[in-house]
Amino acid sequence: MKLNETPAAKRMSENEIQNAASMQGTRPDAEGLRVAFGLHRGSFHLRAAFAAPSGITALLGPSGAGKSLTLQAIAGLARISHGVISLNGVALVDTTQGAMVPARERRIGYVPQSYALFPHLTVAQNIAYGLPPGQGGYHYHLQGWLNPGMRERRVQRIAELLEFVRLPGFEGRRPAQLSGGEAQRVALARALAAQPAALLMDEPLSALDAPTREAIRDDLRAIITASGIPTLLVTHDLSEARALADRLVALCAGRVVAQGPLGATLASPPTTTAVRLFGWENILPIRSTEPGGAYTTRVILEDGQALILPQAQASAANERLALALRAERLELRASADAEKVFSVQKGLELYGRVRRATDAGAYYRVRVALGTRGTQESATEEKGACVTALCSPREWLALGIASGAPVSIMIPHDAARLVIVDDR
Amino acid sequence: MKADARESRRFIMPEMGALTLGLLAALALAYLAAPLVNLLFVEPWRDVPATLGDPLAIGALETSLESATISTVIIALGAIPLAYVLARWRFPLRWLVTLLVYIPLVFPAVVSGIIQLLLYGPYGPIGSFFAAQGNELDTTFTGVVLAQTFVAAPFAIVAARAAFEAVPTATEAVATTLGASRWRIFWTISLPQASGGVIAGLILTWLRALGEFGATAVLAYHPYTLPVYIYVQLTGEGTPAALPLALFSLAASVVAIGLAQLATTHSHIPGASVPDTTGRRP
Repeated sequence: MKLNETPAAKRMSENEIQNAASMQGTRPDAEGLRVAFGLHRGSFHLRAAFAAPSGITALLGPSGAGKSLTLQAIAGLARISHGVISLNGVALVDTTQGAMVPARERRIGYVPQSYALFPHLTVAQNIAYGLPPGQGGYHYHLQGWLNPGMRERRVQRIAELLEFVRLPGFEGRRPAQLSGGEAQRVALARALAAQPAALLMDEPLSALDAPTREAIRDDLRAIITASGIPTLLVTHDLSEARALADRLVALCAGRVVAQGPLGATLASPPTTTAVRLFGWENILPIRSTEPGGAYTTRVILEDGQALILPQAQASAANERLALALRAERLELRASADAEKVFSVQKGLELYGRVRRATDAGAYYRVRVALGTRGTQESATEEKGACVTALCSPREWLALGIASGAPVSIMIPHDAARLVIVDDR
Repeated sequence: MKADARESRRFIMPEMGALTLGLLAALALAYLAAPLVNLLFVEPWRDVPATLGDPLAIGALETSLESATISTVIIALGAIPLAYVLARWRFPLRWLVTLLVYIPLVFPAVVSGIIQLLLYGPYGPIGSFFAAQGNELDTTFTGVVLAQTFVAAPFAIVAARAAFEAVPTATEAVATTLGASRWRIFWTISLPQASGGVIAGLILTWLRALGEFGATAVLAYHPYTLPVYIYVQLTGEGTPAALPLALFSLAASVVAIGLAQLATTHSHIPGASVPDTTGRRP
């Protein structure tokens, strides 16, 4: 059952948001963005409560999760139904107080997915559009006539910004003459020109082709970091979030499923949705769990294999649980020496037979059918629980085993987690 | 060598579908061009110099050019904001506004003239007010402008609305976050990007106003506009007197249509001449 479909659950979540809002909303020391709001668009309900302090925060989610809508709400381009959005401790919107700062006064830089450069203006004019009045922004022609120093200040500021985004000398170009990566950096310079207190970027790399994306990723990160402006960027691509962000907020079907520092968050998905989003790849149904001491849980899989996890059993009794395994951390061993390890280590290890291995270039994707008793034939049948492990080519070729061969899967302690089933 | 060249220039049988499309296009062109081509042969060319010396004809041409230009300016002032509102704002009864805009297109021009006469005529609620002060609206230059404005406005509104709808909303959203007011965004972001379509629409509007006959004839038979004078000459003197006047209309149309073409090809309408800025998608 989906949580967000019952009225009771909806009320609860609205309370949650109120609580989150009062906790983190308008504390004067709250640096960067703090949001806790609800928003309705037709039958879609978005409930976002998260923080984007200094540094780069990635808002990760599949398409349709409500990521872009969240950005629009923060920028003031979409109206929220209830809740609080605050920037550096000052409320931009607070529905409990009826406060609402209009979009044009929020000082939030916005770089949409299409970059939306003004096609009829040159690069210099695009950047100048957001310059504060004192630096040659709006009414520049009038001011420039009254104040001869204005022109130099404007030209100098534009040159500085172009230098900053590593596009010196691009003043006279037209948006149509720019490559995708250049257009993106001009859009970034235009947003920075207005001296925003926070920066929002919608899918900053998705409009670029793969080689450009690789090349531009580090540049982009360096530029944003150097600007020192708290940045929230939306992406559906885990690798993009990993390469660009310090913090992660995972959004799925209009709800935040996990948030925190990037590494720690990716290492501890609380739910199956988060597991899928974080690229762990493996969600195994379990037969039962039992406390195995103060800090451990004994997990019995459906085929009878047991694991002892260094994780206290989740307290909620009514939640269905599953076992998540991080594919990139799993290690395969030929079964013969696995027997020896099993006797010593007794813990995070599963047995199965290789179903197939696919060469994905940088790694091999190996599918292992779980089960201790299976035969070579049963391993190739498309049923029963399966584990995916990503092996380096060297590792896989050194194993020297083929489809149907028995293997043991070695699982590091931090690569296995009990998670709450919140989908299907 | 020669054999190769002949080989490469060999006639390639076009695909059936392309052939059909080309044939239909040619038929349409022939249908539109036939009366004009015929006119060139029928035209009593020796009457042309006499017509050019006819003060009534020159007067009618002047009235037409002036009134059409004034109508177009009035339409530009009102229709561009209305088109922008229809393209961008969501409000109740928006469908009704759209319907009202299209009505002058559907009505026979004579009907447009009659309903305007009911309002602006000497016994109409507005017309009687002005008539009491000695300023009749009908059968005056003002009446000509009123009739032309009513009939021609939809052309500007429909074209400008399409042009505004083609402006990416993201550019307006970004301008907002950069601190621009709606007024500034309209003038510096929306209108410049829509300018090609808006100008083309206004040129069509001017042409429509110039050629307006039905509503003008009902609301303001005098002073003669060119179309009304052509009608007068046709009923009074017959075709030979009316036809040379048509050359005026033809010349004005050719110039205006050329300008419209120029406006749309040198515009900022996305996809028309300016490539998209969404990056280089493969």
